Amino acid sequence: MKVRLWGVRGSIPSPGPDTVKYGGNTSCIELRFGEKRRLIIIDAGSGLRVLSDHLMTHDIKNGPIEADLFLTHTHWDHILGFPFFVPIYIPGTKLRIWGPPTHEEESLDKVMAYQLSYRYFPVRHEELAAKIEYHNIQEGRYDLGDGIIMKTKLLNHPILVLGYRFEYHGRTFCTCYDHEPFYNLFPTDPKHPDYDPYSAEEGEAAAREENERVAKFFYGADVLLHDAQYTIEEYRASKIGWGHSAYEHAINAAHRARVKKLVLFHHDINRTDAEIDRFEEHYRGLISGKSEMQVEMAREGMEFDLS
Amino acid sequence: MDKVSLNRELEHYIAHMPSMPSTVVKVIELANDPHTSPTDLNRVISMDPVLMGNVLKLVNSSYYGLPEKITSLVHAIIMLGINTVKNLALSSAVLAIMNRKNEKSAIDLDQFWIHSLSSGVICKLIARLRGIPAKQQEEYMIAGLLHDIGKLPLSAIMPDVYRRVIDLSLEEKRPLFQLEKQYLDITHMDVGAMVIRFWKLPDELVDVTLWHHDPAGYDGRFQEYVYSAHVADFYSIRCRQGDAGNCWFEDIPQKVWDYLGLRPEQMEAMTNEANHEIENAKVFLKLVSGEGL
Repeated sequence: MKVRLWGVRGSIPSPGPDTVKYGGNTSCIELRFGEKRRLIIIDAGSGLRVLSDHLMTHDIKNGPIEADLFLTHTHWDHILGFPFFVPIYIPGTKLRIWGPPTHEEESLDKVMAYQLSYRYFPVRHEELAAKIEYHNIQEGRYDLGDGIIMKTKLLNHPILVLGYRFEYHGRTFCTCYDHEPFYNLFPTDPKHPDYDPYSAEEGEAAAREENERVAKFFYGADVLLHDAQYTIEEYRASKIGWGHSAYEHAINAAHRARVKKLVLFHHDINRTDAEIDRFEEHYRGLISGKSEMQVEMAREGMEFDLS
Repeated sequence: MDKVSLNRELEHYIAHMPSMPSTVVKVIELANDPHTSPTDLNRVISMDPVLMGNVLKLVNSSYYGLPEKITSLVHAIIMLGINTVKNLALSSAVLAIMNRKNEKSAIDLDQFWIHSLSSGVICKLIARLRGIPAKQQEEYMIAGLLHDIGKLPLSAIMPDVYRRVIDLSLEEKRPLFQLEKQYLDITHMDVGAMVIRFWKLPDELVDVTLWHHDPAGYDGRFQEYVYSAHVADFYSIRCRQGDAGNCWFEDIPQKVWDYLGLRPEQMEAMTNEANHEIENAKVFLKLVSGEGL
């Protein structure tokens, strides 16, 4: 299994002189499996456009593109590259798109088709030349064939978001982004006017249980791509409930779950290259001697060879 | 109406069930508040059988591969997040507003709401008195709250016929379910079980809806829930808190008292507390002003 990152930024593409090193494209990850180099893509952020160019230069000459595209969810930054994925306009392309439906039980194909409607884009979804199949998926375990096992976990974000875990030949690659640790929404301070001892206790237990389930999902991963949009100070000051994690959340959770390599992902749009460099050094320093886990900052073009 | 079309209508109604008119104003207020307190959201949902059912349905849906079903509303709110729960509550409330304008109902929904809430509170208090842990007491609350849920679809789908059945029950002084069986060939217990199954709620709640009028005949494994809901329903009617169309109730079988380890004289304190909670709920929901209570 080989992994390449094509987009690592959160929220909206953020090009400019301050994001040259780590990149400004939003989420897109390419996975290749085995000798056939079976293609699996996670998320259709603006990084997908660059992957598309790569496929059109290197892969198309070997025949039509066939891929599985796994969407973590359908917020804009995770689907805006889709209309610019050239293979969807080429007859012969086979695309299987997988992802969660919405809470309102709107299916994935409908949600994706909105984006390719006239008011948003000149080409309509019905006009695409590729053969596209949609699969609404939920928490569970899926055998994708060719020895690839995929597991999914719903994460904590304002809409249904899936984390993906790919297991192949004993190695594991896992994503956990657009995720904020579950926390107790109910007041635990007896002096708070809304305090209720049952809700306080039940809320603590619920958050703990849900966080344990997430940790179990990425337990022992060789590479874990984890949300790290904020510092803990930024998070506490104004970002609680936004559905993203702080570096500290990701590092602590991944260390406890015996992750081998943690890749901090979904950088904030205003995070400069210089800041990311500084944070990498800072956080590596903090865990040095305390954890064997490797910590890296996600960067466009970064590759992992899990063979 | 033949059986097939009735089932079709029931299924359609159950999939789009409006919340209680009594909670609408509060739900809209909370949905419009960008800083909604989770405690208030929890409170309004826990006093509306339809809102409660819809939230638990989502959390217990197959999206989440939960090892066991969740009946804790606090847990559900933490898993789903405030905004999702707010939107869900709002969409049920919108249906309630549309219904108020367009549809007739055989039962008075405000009275039905009071009966449901009062049964829920009494059922929880029975559990508390019996030393059931706090976490499970919530399940008893839900059992009481939802025991009559099957009346809502019947009342909306066949308002005139169902009203006539209720009136006959009053005239003939017979329990409502017997007349439902006789005239409709389906009871609110059957429909209730359909609702609970649609909401993917746990089996004990299916049994509560099916057996709350026949505890003596029940031989399943959830006696505690079925018996408690039976007693709660009885005392909720007896203390005249609300009205869900049924005024005639056979005596509680001795084996129910024995099994629960309760005595009739312990019930007065519970009905008083339930009355008190309903008055508080009315103030919270702005159905009455808080003054003078």
